[in-house]
Amino acid sequence: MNQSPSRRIMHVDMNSFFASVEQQCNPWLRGKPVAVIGSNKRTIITTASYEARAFGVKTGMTVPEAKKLCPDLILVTGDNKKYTDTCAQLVSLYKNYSPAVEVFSVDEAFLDITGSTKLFGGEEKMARLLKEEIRKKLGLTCSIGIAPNKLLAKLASDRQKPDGLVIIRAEEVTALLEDLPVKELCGIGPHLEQYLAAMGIKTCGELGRKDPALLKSRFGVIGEKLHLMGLGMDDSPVIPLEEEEELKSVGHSMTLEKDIWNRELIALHLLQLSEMVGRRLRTYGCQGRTVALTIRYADFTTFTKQQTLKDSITHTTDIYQTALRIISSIRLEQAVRLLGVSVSNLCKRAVQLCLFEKGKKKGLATQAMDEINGRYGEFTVTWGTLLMRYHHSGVISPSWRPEGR
Amino acid sequence: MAFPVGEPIQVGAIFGSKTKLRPVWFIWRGREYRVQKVTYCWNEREGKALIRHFSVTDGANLYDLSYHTAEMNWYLAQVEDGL
Repeated sequence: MNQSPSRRIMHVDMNSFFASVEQQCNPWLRGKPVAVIGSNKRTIITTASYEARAFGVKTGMTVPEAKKLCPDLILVTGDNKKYTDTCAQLVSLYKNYSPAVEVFSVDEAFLDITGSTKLFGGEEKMARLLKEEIRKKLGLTCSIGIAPNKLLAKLASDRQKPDGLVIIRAEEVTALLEDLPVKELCGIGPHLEQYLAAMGIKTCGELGRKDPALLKSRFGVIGEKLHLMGLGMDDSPVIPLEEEEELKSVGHSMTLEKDIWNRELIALHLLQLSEMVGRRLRTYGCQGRTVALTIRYADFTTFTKQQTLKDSITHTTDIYQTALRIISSIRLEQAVRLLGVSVSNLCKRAVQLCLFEKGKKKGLATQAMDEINGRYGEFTVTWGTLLMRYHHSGVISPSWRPEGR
Repeated sequence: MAFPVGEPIQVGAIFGSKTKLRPVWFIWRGREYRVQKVTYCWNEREGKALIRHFSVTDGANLYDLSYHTAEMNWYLAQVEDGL
C-alpha cells in the first residue's frame, strides 16, 4: 500500500445542511425544531435541525413518526435549487484553500490540503479560517475532519458535531482505531457490521488483525479493502470535478402524491421520468442500452427490474416504451408509492443518420424540444399528456455536481 | 406557512460594489414594504436565464424576491408568515 505519510486530507461536512439553510433564510425558524421534507407532503424527513434531533427526529422518518416524537416540529418544504446553489457557493470557497476539491455529496466535500497548509499557517488555522468564512458568508456551520486519508478524514468530521474540528495525526491512528466499533467507518453499514460480528469482529483493531485471506474468502474483492480499512489505510485519491469518471448511469425517481394502482396514471409518471432521464442523457451526449424500472410499494418494499436492448437509446419515447414493457411484465402486489427510471450501459452518443422519415422527424422534434427547454427552462415544451402534471422529482440526484457559477 | 405569489413588483435596490445587489424596499399591491434584513441569497437557472433570489424580512413576514436578470424584472415569488 502506497500511502504517503505526509498526505493530509480535509473532509467538510455541513451540519444539518438543508435545515440550516432554511433557518438562515427564515430567522423565525432559528433555535426551533425544523424538519425539511420533499415538495410532496408524503415524503420522508430529508434533514432535521439539531433542535429536532434532540427529540429523536432522524432523516428517513415519515412525517407522522417524527411528529409523534416532536409534536411542535416545524415542517419546511425543501427547495433543492437553494441547496444546490449553496453547495456551488461552498465549492467556490473550498477552492480558495485547495485546487483539489471532490464533491462527495451536496453537503460533503474532500479537499487534498497536502500542498496548501503552509500557506495558511498550518492545518488547524486553515480549518478555522474556512469555518469562519462559511459562517460569515452563508451563516452555516460545518464539521471538519483532517487526517492522512479520506476514510479517516470522514471519521474525524463525524466525531464532533455540530461545528466540530477534529484532527487525526498519522501516529494516533492505531490507538484510535483499536477499540473503535467497525460501524463508525464510512462504508460499513448495518448488514456488513452483522456479517463481521458473526466472524467475531466488532472493532477496527480486530478487523485490522484479521487474516486478509480469510476476509477475501468471505467477502470477495472487498475483503482486502476491509482489512485495510481496519488498519486505517485508504489510498483513494481526492478526485476533482473535472477529473471525475465518466457517467455510468442516469436516473430519476419520484414519490407519488398518493399510493396508486392505476396503470394509466403509472404510465403518466413513467413518461415524465423518461423525459427527465432522456433530457439528461442528451445533455451529456450519452445513450444507453439498459433501462431499469424501480418500484416501491406502500409498505416500502422496493425492487428494480431491467431490460437490456440491442441498440442504445436516448429518445424519451424509446425509454418510455421500454419502461412500459417492463411494468407490463410486473403483477403489482400493492399500490405503488415510488417510481424510478434509469438508463445504464452508457456510451457516448454517435451521430447516426436515420434512413426513415419518421425517425428523422422524431430526432428533429427532440432536438427542437431540447433547445427550447435548454433556453427557457425544463418542461417549457413537453407532451400534452404531461401538461397538467409536471412537477420536479424533489430529489437531488446523487450524481448532481455543481457547475461553474 | 409559505404562500406562492409570482407577481411582478416594484423594487428599490442598491447595486453596490461589495454587496453586489441588495433590495431596500418593494411595492406589492400598492403597499410599500421596507426590507429590514436580507437573510439569504441564491441563484437559480431557468434555461439560460439567471434568476437571483433574495429572502428578505420586513420584521413581520418573510418574502422571496426574485430578480430575473435577462428581463431585468422583479417578482415576489413567495410570502411566508413570521412564526
